Amino acid sequence: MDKTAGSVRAPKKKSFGRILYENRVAYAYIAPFYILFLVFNLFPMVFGFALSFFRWDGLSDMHFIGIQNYGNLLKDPLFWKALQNTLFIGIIAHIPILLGGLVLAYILNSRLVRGENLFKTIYFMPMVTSAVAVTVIFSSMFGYNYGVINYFLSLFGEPPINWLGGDGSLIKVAVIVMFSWKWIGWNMVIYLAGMQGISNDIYEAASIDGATHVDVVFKILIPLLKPIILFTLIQSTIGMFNLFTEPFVLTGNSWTGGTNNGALTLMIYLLNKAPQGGNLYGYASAVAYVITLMIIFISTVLNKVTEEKDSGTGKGGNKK
Amino acid sequence: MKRIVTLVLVTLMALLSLSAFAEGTVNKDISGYIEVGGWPSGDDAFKAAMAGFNEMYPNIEVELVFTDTTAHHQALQTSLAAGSGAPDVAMVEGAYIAQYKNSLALTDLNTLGAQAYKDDFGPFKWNQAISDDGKRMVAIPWDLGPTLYYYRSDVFEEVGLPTDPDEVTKLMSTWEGVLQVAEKVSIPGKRWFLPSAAYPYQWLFINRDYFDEKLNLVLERPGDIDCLNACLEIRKNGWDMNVDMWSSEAYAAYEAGTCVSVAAGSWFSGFLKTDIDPDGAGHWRATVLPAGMPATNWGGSFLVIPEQSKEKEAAWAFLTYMLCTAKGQNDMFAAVDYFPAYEPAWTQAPELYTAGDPYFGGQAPNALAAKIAGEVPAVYNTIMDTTAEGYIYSAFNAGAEAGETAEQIRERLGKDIEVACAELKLQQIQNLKDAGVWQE
Repeated sequence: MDKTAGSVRAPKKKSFGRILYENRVAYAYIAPFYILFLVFNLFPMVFGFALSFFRWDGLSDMHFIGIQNYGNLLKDPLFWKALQNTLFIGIIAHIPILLGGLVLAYILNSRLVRGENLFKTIYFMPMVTSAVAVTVIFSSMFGYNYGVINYFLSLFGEPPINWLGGDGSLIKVAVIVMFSWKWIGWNMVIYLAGMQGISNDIYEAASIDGATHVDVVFKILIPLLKPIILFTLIQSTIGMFNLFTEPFVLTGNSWTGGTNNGALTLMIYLLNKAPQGGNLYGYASAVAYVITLMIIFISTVLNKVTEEKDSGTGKGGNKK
Repeated sequence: MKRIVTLVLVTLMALLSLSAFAEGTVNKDISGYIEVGGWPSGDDAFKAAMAGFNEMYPNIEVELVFTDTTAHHQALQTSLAAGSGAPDVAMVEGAYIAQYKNSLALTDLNTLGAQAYKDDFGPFKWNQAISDDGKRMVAIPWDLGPTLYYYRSDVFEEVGLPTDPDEVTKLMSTWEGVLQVAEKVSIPGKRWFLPSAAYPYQWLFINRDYFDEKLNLVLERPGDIDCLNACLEIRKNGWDMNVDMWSSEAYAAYEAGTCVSVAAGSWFSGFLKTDIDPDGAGHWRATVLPAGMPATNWGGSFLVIPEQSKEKEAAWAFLTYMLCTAKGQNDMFAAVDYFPAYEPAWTQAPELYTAGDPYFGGQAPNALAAKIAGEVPAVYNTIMDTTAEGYIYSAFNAGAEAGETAEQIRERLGKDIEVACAELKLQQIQNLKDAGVWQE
């Protein structure tokens, strides 16, 4: 019906309002999403970008300062320290996250164990548990004077270790343990779903051809899981950049990220500029945009890396 | 013509209503509906004083909109920037006041008659709420946090030390005395003198007077090196727990009597009673800071009226009743231990301040707090203060761990603060420039 109406009026160029009016029902249906998207996504994104060129404390006048925020950011040793900490924690933690997730998923998939659903639930639990509650538990485990870990050390005659204090270098250990503990279960559930999606025919064919367990894992399972591994990698990379609650609560709500900025992550750095600790909205927007660029960069690299390998093994389906 | 008449009428009305405020007279007929926002236990305080308020202003309806401290300040900040959605009266914590004092989004309380109460408040708090150009006043102080040194008298007694606050103060009037006490009460690995040896050094800065009016960092202060040396000695001997004073480990140790002392604003009395050691009546006493440290203030909040409020008259009536009357302040003080910044409250219900507190074994920490409150000097606050404060604990621990001397730790702290506050300093300078009081 719309089409006929359109063709009749074709010679006259229709005004935007006219189009809106004619398709009002359709637009009304999609409006909720676009209104929310405009208000909560697009506007903050654009406004934030504009804001990153201003000095503004949210209350008094805005002052345009060009790219000074970006310049100062790159000159700030604390920003580099935060970036270094974030990458260190993220990269080290990905070893147990990836390997642990794969191994656990493989075990559950192999039908060696019963109660798959029970284990899935248990491993997934950390992902949905309140980070603050979990951190409180972990901070008492890593406690200096009354911590469980130091208690075990004392059984072997070892002196207590100040995990969360000292010179600040060991806070990262606690954060890495918490970060991996949280993400292993998530990765495992995704990998398991992926493994179950691989047809049994392939395994059977492989075993008829005399493939060993190791062959199956490295030549069938992992190559076929690659897109899924990539997905989890991007997810946990974003998780790494968003790392805030764990180090923040472990260091006693410290905006320094503990002694010597030991666990100062990018997100602590950002939120400390605004809206907590400081009200440097322009500067914080610049930080947010730099972090966004880094996430885009890493995601692109990850995509490229897997794409190349895929094309090496033949045309692995359509990517785009 | 009609427009001119309207304009004149409106101006007249505005002037009339202003003069009514300025006289400070109570107008019982003020009516309206106001929202009051803040964080606990401010709501308990307002509820405790509400009966008196309702009696004086029967036509003002008050709704309390309370959330946690962080969420409250975030929401307030957002709604002030947006120009709508703020409550008619809002609490602002002492650490945040420097960020708000120049804000045009807050009503200039001088236009409502704030100057009438100037002499009722100590300059320390009053001046914090005045804008950098000295023209506007955006907040009225609610409470003070005179810094007290809390100690476990039961442990002091057990090890043969005096327990009476005056005697303890005398004994700990020098750093040698402090170290003697620390040694006596501590059993390394089992019982500690302090949560962290970094704190005595932090007490020197707890007025949050880190920067002077030229925004130079003022780190060197009388006795700081002696203080740091004592701190290092405490750390070296294992007389401190080496944990944050707000950590769950420290809380457990206060209650168990394994961490025998800590200093904080007098609001910490309420923390001890209700949260940390509710069954510990008689365990604790309080006195002034040791080693002759000057009287200081630790925290305390303010009330503001956002410019966007449509009920300023009612909001001002609420604010002045709660903060600028002895009854309002004392009703709240009795309920939640927020020590009134309004000084006439101290004398109008003296029993609240002088009566012995059974929790403190009959001692009256509030009498001591009142004395300290009178001695706190006016200081210069900036938006950098809370960030600077965070680095004391960190720099001391890092320095002590690296085996540095007192001077080296002070130098390290200076560098840490300069780096962390660099961007805030630019904003602060901008604020001062905007106010027309910054000279290069």
